[in-house]
Amino acid sequence: MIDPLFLRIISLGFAALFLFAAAHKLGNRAHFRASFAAYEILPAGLSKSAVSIIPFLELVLALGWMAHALFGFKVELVSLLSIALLTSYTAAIAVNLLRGRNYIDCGCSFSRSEFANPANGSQQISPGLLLRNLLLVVIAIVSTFPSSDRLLHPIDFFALAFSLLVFTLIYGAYNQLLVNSNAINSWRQKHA
Amino acid sequence: MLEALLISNIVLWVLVVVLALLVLALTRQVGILHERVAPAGALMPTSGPKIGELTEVLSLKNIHDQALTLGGENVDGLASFILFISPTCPVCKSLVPTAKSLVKSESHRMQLIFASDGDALEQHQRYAQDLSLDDYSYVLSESLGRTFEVSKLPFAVLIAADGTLRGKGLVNTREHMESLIESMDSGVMTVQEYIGSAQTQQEEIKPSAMEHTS
Repeated sequence: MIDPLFLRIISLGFAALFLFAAAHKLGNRAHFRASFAAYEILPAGLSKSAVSIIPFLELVLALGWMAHALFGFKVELVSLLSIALLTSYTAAIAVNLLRGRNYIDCGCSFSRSEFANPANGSQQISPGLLLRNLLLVVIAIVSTFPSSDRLLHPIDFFALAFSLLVFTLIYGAYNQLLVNSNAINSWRQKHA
Repeated sequence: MLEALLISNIVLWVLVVVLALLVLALTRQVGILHERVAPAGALMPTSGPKIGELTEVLSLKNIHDQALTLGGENVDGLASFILFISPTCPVCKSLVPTAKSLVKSESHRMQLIFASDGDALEQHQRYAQDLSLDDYSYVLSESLGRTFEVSKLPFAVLIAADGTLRGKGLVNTREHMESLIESMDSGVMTVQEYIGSAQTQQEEIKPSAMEHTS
């Protein structure tokens, strides 16, 4: 049993995450197409349809999570699809890291050009990124647990708003650290 | 009681948000520093022996009166990193530990030698002791400095195992010293040459990348 407050934090968090991800992908489709192809996971034909489906799937998931957080509809399918989508992203990163292709652009929603690695104008995939996605998968799995039926008080909504703000800031800081570590890795390796 | 808990909860949330903002701002600043700090190399004088030339063999003595040969092919297959220092140069003192740590990480292929001239021998011996240079050769020679036309300190010279001059220049930081080793490994003589080649490469890549994304 998990507390409904935690569930709402998770739901609104994922709603925001998928909304930004979808907006980022729809806003720059050429960039998304190029970074999707760079992962070299799907054959070219399938890759084309996946590129057009994924942003809309993310948008639907964002709405699903939002409906859950605001109106209390709990749709198992939203959680399960999110887990599947996040797991496939994580697997794509893991496969490319195993292939040794750690130089490809991650295509992450928060790696805007001014935040990105100046050497190639993008955030590359890394074990840190894999860890971040694994954590997201774990959080999505936690959201499928049954919740208790405690009534939420005004102070809970206050905590909800602040938790979301803090999570967003920490998420941004973590991504920035990933970009920084990319830059540091481009330095001379044999430091004593 | 409940009111006090409520207020403390609000205060704590505000503090957590402020801290998270600070963390984000700090990581951002680190990121900006990486973007702004351009690579810096050692300042290379145009006078003196040229990079790629075979160095002259010099028979010298260190401050403990032991014989030492510098320049020419090295029998142990080690490159020589010569750092010119002086007891009267304040920057040198801070650069010595950095040079030691840098060459230590390359110890399988490089030896570190300190060089100086002028002043009394005792002064140099005391200086070497202060900086714990006992494990390294410390050479006192005017001809060595003149051969490489060392005019400003701290100055570093890198001679490859085959005796060719691979790098030289005025060094003030670890990055400057690393630039000499980098230059030896990459075969690129100067930062200017590197930027020039990177620009030509980019121009060659650009059309193909455009084809890929359009």
